[in-house]
Amino acid sequence: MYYKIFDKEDWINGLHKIEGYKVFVPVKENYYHIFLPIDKDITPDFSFHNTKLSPKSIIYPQSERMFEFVVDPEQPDAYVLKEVPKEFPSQAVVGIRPCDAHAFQIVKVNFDNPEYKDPWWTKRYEATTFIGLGCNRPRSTCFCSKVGGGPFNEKGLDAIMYDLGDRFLIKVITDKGGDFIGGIKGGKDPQDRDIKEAESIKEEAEKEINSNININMNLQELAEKPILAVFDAPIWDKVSFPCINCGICTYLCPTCWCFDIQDEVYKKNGDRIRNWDSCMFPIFTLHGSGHNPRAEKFRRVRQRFMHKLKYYVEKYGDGVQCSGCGRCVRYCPTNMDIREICNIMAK
Amino acid sequence: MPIEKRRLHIQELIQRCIRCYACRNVCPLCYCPTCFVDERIPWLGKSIDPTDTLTFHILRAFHCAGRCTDCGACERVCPMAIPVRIFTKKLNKEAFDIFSWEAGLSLDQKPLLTAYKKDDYDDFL
Repeated sequence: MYYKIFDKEDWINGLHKIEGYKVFVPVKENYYHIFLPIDKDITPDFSFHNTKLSPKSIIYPQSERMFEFVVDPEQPDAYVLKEVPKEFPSQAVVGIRPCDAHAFQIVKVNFDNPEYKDPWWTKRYEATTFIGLGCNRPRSTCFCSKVGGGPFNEKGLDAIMYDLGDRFLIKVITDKGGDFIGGIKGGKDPQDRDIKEAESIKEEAEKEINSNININMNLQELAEKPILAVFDAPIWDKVSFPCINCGICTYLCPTCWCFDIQDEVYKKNGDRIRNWDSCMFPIFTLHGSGHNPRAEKFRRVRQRFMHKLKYYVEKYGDGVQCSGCGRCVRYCPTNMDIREICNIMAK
Repeated sequence: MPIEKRRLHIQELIQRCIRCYACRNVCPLCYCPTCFVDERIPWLGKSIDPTDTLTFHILRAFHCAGRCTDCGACERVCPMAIPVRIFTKKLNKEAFDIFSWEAGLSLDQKPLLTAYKKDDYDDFL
């Protein structure tokens, strides 16, 4: 663990020039920021709260061609599924917020465990270096510190950037982080006062987020309440009323992972594709038989919050399936708030 | 805008669409019991293929033709700031130009696409 300090201009020039990585940076587009691969025409912009879409798609693309096949009975390999050949070049996500980096660790149990290893997720995750950007000013919708994270938390990060105004102080955490930072010219050893300044920024940020009354989630009480008591509680009709069953919360969420597999065939060639799916969509649980166990909205909404705040907790024993990024709170069109719903569930 | 440039322009506008269907779900006129995107006959794929996304926006606009009152909820709700009303307003304009029709102004009028008048524009026949 060591520090390097960069002038912001040197840092950004270095990101353009570094070799051996596909570098993703936050870019301002329209009215928001998103992560895009750096290019000569792309200017990174690190003055943002958080990107609209989480960087989830860098490891887990929204649509992924898994297999290909031919449907021509004349061919000897007709109908045989063949894995689509792919490359997993080294990549780096620079400027990822600690909540989003923590989210990849939360999701990892699903795609990389003793029983099952998703070939694409695991290879892409291993090929990625995460250079985080700590949050000097958490927002009203941020609650990372409540769910096992924090504005300068290092979970899931190979290095973390402290924004000191005109310079970035980088704390290198892992060897992977060191390799990336080493590839950027202009890095100097910081002085003690730089490190002290960074520490005080971190303390201020942690104080700010913890003083936000909206983040008082009764997670402990919810964890102690029996699953069926929460499932059968007569709260769900009222809680689910505002939901319009779109996929905004799901698709913006860095910890949501559900998907749908579809075959698309054109003439004699077909692809088996994995697409993001949302448990909020009415036909998410539609069976081939025509039966739909979650046809009614309250069942779907209940499913989302039970999964995030109860099922995941009981299955993996390491906290909720949420990193507190607050995107769902901010962008839900009907203002549903997971922090509020958590407390209703915990009562 | 010249026709050759329109497709490229529209593809750029919907480039960030994540197919969350918030625009459809919030629309007061999207009340089909089974939306065309969810039908078993695949009118369009479920991936974020740009052509499929284009199909979704254009087909939804056409389905709302003659019924859209430009409430703007679709555009307001889009998380990716896509100007969804570009499509619906175009259809509203066509309805007005061709049939002098504005939806939602009177409870007594029969909806545009359910009523036929002998002097309706039919140059395309």
